[in-house]
Amino acid sequence: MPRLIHIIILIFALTLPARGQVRGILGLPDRIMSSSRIGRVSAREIPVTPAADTSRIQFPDEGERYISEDYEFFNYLKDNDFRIDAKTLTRGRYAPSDTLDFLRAKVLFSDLKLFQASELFGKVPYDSPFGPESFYYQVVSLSSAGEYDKAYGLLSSLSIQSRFSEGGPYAELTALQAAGLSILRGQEDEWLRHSSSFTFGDYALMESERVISEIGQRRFGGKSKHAGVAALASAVIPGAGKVYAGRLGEGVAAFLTVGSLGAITAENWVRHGNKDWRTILAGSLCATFYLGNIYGSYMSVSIENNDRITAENTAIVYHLHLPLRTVFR
Amino acid sequence: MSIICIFLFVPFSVNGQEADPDDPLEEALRWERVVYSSDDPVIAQDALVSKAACLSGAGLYDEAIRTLDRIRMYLLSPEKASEILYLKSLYSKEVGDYGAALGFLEESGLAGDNPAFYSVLLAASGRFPESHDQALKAISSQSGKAAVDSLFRKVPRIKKEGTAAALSFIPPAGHIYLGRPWEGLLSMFLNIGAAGFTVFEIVGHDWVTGLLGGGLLLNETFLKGNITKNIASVEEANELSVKRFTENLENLLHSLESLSPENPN
Repeated sequence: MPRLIHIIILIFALTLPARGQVRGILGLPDRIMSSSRIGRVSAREIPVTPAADTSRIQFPDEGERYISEDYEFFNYLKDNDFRIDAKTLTRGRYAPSDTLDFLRAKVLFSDLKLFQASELFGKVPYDSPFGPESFYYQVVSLSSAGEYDKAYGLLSSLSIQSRFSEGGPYAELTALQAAGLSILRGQEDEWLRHSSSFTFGDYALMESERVISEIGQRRFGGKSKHAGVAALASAVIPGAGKVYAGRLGEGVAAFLTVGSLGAITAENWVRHGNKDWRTILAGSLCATFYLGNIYGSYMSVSIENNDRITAENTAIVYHLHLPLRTVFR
Repeated sequence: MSIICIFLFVPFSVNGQEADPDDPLEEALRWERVVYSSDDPVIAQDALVSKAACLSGAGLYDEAIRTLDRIRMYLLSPEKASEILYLKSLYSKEVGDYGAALGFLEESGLAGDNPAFYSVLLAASGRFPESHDQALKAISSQSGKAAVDSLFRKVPRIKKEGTAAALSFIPPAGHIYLGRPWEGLLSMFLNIGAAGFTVFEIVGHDWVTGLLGGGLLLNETFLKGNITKNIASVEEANELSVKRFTENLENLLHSLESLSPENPN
């Protein structure tokens, strides 16, 4: 009876710190091992991508003055990052104009109201002085909002191709955005086709071309880790899958925990027989932690891959936007 | 508010449309336009102060501080510089940055003019004896002073990580030190159970079970659940106790000030 109490304390003490954090019976042991002192050695923070705010804005009625009179003032506000003032300015009573649409769209874009920004950028005609800039900002707005197909469709439309892609001043910028969007859409052939236009010679574009080329090669080069390999590695040597996933500390913690429980099971088996309740209990715990580690290793690689893809996608969208500041300065 | 009103006399010319007088953001934009168009640095500084006042009126204290940060302090007279620092202190407190608020207030040299405010900021920074002195200065009535003294008899003790770590070796002393006796009691029972299991197994010659199983258990109950957790909780416990005390002090001073003869309303 005292041994039974000890075993209950053992289970309780092992599960108490992880209570409320687990998602399933197989996730519990992995959580316990991962949260140990050793397990946390290689822990890292998962990047969070902010969600787009799509709430609608009511603009005031049109007025008499033209925003172009305040264009320099608007640029002063933007350049100094006085966002609230820029927003207040474009909210004022101005006569409708392409410039007003463009500036309002820029403010909405800064506020991450991406769909509204895209809509307003789209209202600026191509032959307006702000036409090209609005067009490429519209592509970036849609890309930032996750609307990759729409953004790519915009870039690929016939009228755009004839205006911007065929040897015009923005041909390479179009190719850059199309290549980035091809990666985001998982289209390797299109990525190869568009990235073949990269010259790496334009100061405004070369850094973004390099980043997008590297990401494309990594994405389509088949160098990513496989969750199945991690699971198999942990099945052979507990913790090996975690090491494969790049989490050395968690791997060592898993190895020590599963190994200790295995040794305890073996001792009880030898001393008390395989049908003794102590052997069965220790063996059950060992099996649970062993399976939990396999599951955890599989999930670690999946999470690692998802995090990497998310980080790369964020980098691509950033590099679709980055050159615009220089190109349209 | 009187400080803000001084600067509202600044003349300005706006080349834009009529602003909505009820919208503090429109007003702030008008002042920013003054800064943009003015060639006179003195007018620009005053416009920035007025803009900060508008932003604070809209509840945008962070933006207000950012605006005041743009002021070139070396262009101001010592009196004006003090007033700007005082405003920064007020706004910093509003955004919950008591440390910065205290720094600005002390730098402004106006701390003595508002002992109640100073007392609250000192308490939030853990400087309780000075906070006590300032609180007494802020209150004129004897009953009020008695209430302040009574509150300061219960100042929170600032916990130390080293003490918490040392006491954690004797469960539940570490938990009790941090003001969590019931959690400490649970921790004590778990540790006794884990230690008992270890000894029992070793005495019974189940060496592997005793050493490895006991080690795993004690790692959870003693190392993680007791020592590590208590050390990690010290800062949180200190912040919480100081925050509670500061809130109590602020409420007390507010109630006493509003009931004092100088403020009959």
